Amino acid sequence: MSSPHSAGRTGLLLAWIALLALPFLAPNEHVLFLGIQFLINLILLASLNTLMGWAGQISLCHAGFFGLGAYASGIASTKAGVSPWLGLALAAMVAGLIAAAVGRPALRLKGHTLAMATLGLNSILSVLFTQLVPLTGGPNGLLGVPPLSLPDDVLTTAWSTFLAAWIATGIVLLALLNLIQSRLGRALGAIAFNETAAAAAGIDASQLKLQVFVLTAGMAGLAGGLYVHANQYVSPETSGTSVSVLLVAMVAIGGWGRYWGAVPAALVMTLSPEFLQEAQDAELLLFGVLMISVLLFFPGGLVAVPGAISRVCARLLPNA
Amino acid sequence: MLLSRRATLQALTAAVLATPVVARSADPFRIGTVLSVTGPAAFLGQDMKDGAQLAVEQINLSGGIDGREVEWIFHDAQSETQRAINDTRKLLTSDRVDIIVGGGSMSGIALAMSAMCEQAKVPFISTEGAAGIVAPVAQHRWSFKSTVDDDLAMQRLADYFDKRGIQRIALLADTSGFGQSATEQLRAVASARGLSLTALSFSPGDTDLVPQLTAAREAKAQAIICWTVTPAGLVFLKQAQQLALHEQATLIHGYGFVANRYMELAGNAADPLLLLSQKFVVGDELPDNDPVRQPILALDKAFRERWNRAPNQFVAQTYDAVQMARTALAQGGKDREKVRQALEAIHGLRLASGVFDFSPDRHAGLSKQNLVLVSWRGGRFHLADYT
Amino acid sequence: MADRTVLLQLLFSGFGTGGVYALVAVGFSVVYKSTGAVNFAQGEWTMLGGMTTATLAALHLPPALACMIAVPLVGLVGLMSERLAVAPLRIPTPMAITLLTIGIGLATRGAAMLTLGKQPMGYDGFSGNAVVQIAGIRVPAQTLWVLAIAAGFLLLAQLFFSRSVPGKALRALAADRDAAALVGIEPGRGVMWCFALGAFAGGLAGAIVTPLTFISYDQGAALGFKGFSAAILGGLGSLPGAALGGIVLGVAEALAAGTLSSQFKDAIAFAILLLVLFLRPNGLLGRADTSRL
Repeated sequence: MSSPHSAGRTGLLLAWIALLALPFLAPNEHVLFLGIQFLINLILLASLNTLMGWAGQISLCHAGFFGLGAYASGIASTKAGVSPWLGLALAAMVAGLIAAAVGRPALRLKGHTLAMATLGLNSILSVLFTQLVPLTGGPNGLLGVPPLSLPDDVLTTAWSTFLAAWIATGIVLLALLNLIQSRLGRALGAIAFNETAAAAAGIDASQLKLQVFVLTAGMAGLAGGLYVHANQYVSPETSGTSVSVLLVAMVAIGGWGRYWGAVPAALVMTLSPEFLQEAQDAELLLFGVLMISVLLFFPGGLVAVPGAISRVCARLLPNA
Repeated sequence: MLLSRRATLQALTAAVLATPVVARSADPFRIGTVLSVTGPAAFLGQDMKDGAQLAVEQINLSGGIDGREVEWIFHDAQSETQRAINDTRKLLTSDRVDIIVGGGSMSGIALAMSAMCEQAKVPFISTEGAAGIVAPVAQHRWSFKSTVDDDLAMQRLADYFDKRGIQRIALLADTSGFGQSATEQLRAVASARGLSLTALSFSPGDTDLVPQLTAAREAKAQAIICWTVTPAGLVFLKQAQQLALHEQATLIHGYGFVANRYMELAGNAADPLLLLSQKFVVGDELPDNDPVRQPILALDKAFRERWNRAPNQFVAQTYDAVQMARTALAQGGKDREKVRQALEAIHGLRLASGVFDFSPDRHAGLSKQNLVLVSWRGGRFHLADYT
Repeated sequence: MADRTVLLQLLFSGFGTGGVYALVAVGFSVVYKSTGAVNFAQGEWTMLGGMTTATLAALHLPPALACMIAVPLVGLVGLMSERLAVAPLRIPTPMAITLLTIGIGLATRGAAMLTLGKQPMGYDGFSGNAVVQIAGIRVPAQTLWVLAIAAGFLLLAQLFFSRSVPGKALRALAADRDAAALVGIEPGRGVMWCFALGAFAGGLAGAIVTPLTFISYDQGAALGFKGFSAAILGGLGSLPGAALGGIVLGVAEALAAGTLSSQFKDAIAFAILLLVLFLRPNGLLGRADTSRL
């Protein structure tokens, strides 16, 4: 596990500001929306990475919380006329609340049993999204969700949506950085390393784990809220169990337990459908093989690749 | 960068496929298509794609539309709504198509695409089933569909039940949009026409329908309708046979299950089955004066020549949709509003799926007269109930 | 009277499904025991068993023979997957292996789609389409085959692990990797055989259930999740647990679908599962803390 160095905050700030160039560079709305999707994926993966890497918990319900947020904000804005901007806060709250309710009994479970329990929760949520038709629109999805627009059309919808996703990403990434750099973060590291020893050192592991579980679920909910208003639509399959499994795999591909690991993970997740579509029927096989290759050859994830390359170069060119 | 390269690549492929009989000078018409050639809807998506491609090729071979070549841009949604949304956005904002034909091979996708086309003010001809794709028209001014509405399908079934004196029916619908829409519509039709309905459901991946079938048997249903496009419909047939339900009830599948492959897999479990279908699969058994007999036989011949296999209803859905686009583009040209109005003005258009009638307050073009009941015997479908 | 036959019909149906879940659960258990990992490729192997058997049966092979060829083939796929994707791992932590199995699963599904096609497949059962009358209800002969084969396999597996030398070696490996290595049991080989055995069990489940349900390339994941649930429900790593978990889950689903609500049956089954987990975190037959992380 790499501990983020002190430059982390400055680096984060610079990277975050650099992201603002994207809407200016995007040649059309399609590319701009890919950028929005990247930010949404980044929030999802960074929060899951924190839960997995620092709290040592595997959640197979992250897509479920994402869906909860999406449906909460989507339903509130379509059926009750709540402003989409308020809906974002609601999305995070609903996901966090459900996480708090199930988290207490679930987090007593360990390893695989916890994975199973979260998977079960995600399955139940999927059934509810599909079957509560009057509320969710059922398998056809929730239609007519209002976008994140500003009064008087100060900005185009695509622009204001991007800004919302950009600000949310900044807040989430900063919060996660603060969390892992704080005493709490070190305590979490101790839990992930050895829970029994941590408890002996006076760390209330279950309480801490619950807090991180709720916080990261809330972040997934926020990502869901952004998603539903960006696409003005959500359907059950976007929050199914297989998406949860894929998210866990993506975290590993990016770099499990490394702060910046979520960035390459989100890039791969956003862009691989665009590139692999060329392969048509071979896409699934190719994706699986690529995933195995990354996990085998770069156990630290894609984020460790530049470091690995520079180490190899240093060995090959000892005088350089 | 790579994105635009891909688009060019696709445009190139389309241009190569579409033999350039047409003069290159005129700005071509760009038709965008989103279907699912992979994923759960793949088994019908490939046929739908081939139908659309055949139509585009025929148009270009015959000199294009109004002297303009047709450039066809195809995207595989892979049965995933998120991909379809991205693909549609690309068609609308990057490829800047004149019209979109085909809604991802799944109702859920088509519903999302319909909303996007509405905002972008680009005409959209859906080849999917759900009524909500085009209704209410006030919120779907730019969307049309080449398929029959579920309420009409259910009316057609109710007509058949009247004829046979059937009063107690059971429905096993899958949990997809296709199945849920059927459940909703059949509930309405059953209560309007005095049928007693037991509505049950199953998920598309289910491997055991004995519980549902047992419930249908206990309800003493005289007809059991299964509504799905997934292989679970085969489980329905097999297990109904094992429970000997055909001795008690007429077994019926909806139009989503009219596929040779399914019937072959079902073996003799398909013997007692009736299927609600468009006329396509029994084109040669239709009376000579039937208005869609000729279009069906023509498409059947052309499709066999081009792809060396037999076409099915799904081929007709996209083939017809491209024909409608052709008619509308010929009249409206590059003016999208005029194209939209030309679609609304389509009246009495005889195509392979039926006779299409659109109007400013109706964007689903088929009536229940275009539906028949068919059965499967000796390796092909046969007409079992004609109006 | 009618109620009794309905209940019996539902129970039989649940037992049939449960037998299949149990076999898939066995696959999870053996891989978990040898590596500590959750095997996300398990469902895909089940799918592969069904697809391969159906493909062979379509070449006019007798169903039983098709099954006897296809299932070892799937076992071989499991073995090769371990050699190619898991064995090269430098630090084989349970987490790393779990993640790799996600990749193996996706690749397997993709390869199955490319080689065996996207169309659903099926074949007539070992006794054709015969139906047996038992106590006033009609049961397909294949359901009885499923129950017999599942029970037979579970019994054999139990004997293998408790009596035979290689079985005991594998158990020793699961109990203490380093100690097993000290007495000359090579851990890598053990993991390889467990992957092969897991794939064999999954493939068998897929092969025998396909005549009842049909199968297509994208149905593996759903079967895998159900099998995983059964394994956890019974107590991961315990063979009798896998059997019990599978049956309980299958019967719960059938009863929920037939008597409560066919729409919410999956939610009901998972809610029962969560409840059991919260009350008995190690499953119905699992022993207390067997943590090896």
